[in-house]
Amino acid sequence: MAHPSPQLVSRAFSDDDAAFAELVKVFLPALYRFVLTLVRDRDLAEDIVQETWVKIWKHRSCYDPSQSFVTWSYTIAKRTAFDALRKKAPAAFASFNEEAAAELLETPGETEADIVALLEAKEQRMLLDQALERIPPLYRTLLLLCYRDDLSLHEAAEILGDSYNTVKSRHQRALVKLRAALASDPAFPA
Amino acid sequence: MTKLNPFFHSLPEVVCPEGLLPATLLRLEQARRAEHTYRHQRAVYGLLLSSVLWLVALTVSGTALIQSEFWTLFGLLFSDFAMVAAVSGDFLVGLLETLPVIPLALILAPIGLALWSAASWLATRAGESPGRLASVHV
Repeated sequence: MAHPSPQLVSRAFSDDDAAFAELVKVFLPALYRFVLTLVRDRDLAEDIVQETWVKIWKHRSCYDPSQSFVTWSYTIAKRTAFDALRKKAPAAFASFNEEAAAELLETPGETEADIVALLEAKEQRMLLDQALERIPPLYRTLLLLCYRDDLSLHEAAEILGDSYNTVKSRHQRALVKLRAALASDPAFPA
Repeated sequence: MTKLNPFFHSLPEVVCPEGLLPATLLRLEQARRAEHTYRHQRAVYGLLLSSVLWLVALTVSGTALIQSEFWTLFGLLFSDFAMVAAVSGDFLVGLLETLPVIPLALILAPIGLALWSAASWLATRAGESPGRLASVHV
């Protein structure tokens, strides 16, 4: 993932138009990918990304340089995306929260290793994408933040606006869900 | 970094739509123009409001000054200067006490607003001209 350098962020936020345009250019794909992970709708994702950049520009004076720009911008993008999703389908969003709350507090042992073993054994890496499609959006987002974007659980917690402990347990549940999704795939016969 | 990361890194790459970058820069430019216009209007309305307020404050404080005992006491300077000179300290304090302080202080509020609006207007004028973000991409 292309992360903008702190120098570029600093120049962009000090009213350097060329630097801000460069920041948009460098970080736009990552932000779009993140938003698309949340909303799964390309048109809506494009709108949200544009809205997110406007918010980033408007609130640039609130940015603390000691904070990670990626975390800060992802947080804004997540809020913008959730607002858009609430407007679009309030019932679906509420039902997702209920589903998340009703999840079993399973603490699996070696879930991560199980998933790796499943994927390696069958050499079906592409099926990971399909399995991710079948798990709830918040779990999918968390896994993509941790494993695709290489963010820590602390950073993911900050972006998702939840406590570290909540995200940690949700991470475990997400892995269980992913393992179940992979195991239930026809490509992985029992 | 765990053993799972490489699998996620090998996920199909999401291609960013081609038109998204120019559309985003254009949207940013529109937002900046809107803010520029808002600040400009705020400064102009601030200057207009401060002018009206200043006239009101001037009328109120002028009336209060005329109706106060300030001029009566001040007239003593010309009619009985020797006595005034003898008690100059007390006279000065008395003179100040007759000043309508609150109405006079009211004049300062529109002056402050005018200064703030003028500074805001100058900052808007000195700010970057619209159209630069979009042109950066072009």
